[in-house]
Amino acid sequence: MSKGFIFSLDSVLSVAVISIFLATFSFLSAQAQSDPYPLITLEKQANDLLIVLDKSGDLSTLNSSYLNISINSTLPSSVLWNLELEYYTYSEGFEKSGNFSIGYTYSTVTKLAHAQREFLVFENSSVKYYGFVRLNLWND
Amino acid sequence: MVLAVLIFVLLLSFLTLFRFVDILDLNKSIEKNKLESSAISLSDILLKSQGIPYNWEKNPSSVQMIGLVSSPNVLSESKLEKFINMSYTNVIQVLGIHSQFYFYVEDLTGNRLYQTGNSTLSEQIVSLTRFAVLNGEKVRVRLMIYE
Repeated sequence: MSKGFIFSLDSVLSVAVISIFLATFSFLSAQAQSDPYPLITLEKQANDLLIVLDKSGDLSTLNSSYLNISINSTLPSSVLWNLELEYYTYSEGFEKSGNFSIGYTYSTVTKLAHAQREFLVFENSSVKYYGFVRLNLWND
Repeated sequence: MVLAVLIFVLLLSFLTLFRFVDILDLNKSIEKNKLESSAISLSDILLKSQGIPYNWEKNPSSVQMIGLVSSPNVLSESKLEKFINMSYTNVIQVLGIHSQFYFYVEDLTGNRLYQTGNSTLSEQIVSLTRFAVLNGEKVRVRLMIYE
C-alpha cells in the first residue's frame, strides 16, 4: 500500500515539475517570437509621413482640418494616429502662437510608434512661424 | 511503477515532438526575419539616397547603388523611369539582394504610376508601405520581398 502510494506521488511530482518546465519554456518561446516588424514599419511610416507633410506644404498651412483629411487619405485605414502641433514666433525669444491636437486618443495604447519634426512657415520669404510636430501611429 | 514509467515516456515523447515543431517554427521565423530586414534596408536605400553616383540616371550602366530620390522622400521622376526600365536581374544584382521583389508607386487613389519587379508572389512574402512626394503630390511606395 505504502509502496504504491510513493510511486503515485513520484509520478504526480514528475508531472508537476515537467508541467512547470513546459509552461516556462512556452512562455519564453512566445516572448522571443514577438515580431518587432509591425512596430518598426510604423516608425518608418511615421517619419516618412512627417517629411511628406512638410515637403508637400501641408504642415505650413497650420490648418487642423486640412491636416486631418491629408493624413487620413495617406495612411491605411488599419493605422490609427494622433498629431500634436505647436508653432511659435520669435522676437526676443520664442513665444507660443498656437497649438492643436488631432486624430485619435492613445492613452491606453501600449505599442506606439513615434516621430517628431521641426518645420518653418514662411511668409514673403521670411520665417513667420517655427513649428514643432509630433506624430504617433499604432495599429487598430 | 508501470504508471510512472508510462507517464515519463509519454512526457518525453511530447517534449521531443514539441522541440521538433519549435525548431521548424524557428527556421520559418529566421527566413521571415531576413526578408523583413531586406525590406526595411532596401526601402531606406531607395527612398533616402540619391544613389551612387548621385546622377546615375544619366548613365544607368554606371550605377553602383540605386537611389530614387533627389532629397529624402522626394522621388525623382527621371530616376524612377530609369529604375523601372532596368532589367530585373540587373536590379537584383545592383541591390545585392538574394530574394525576389516587386515594387510600385501609387497615388493616394490607388493608381499605379510606376512598377517593376516580379509580381508572381510566393506564400512567404514581406510587404512594406512607405510614403513619399512625387511632383509635389503625396504617393505610396510599396515594396514586396519574397523567396
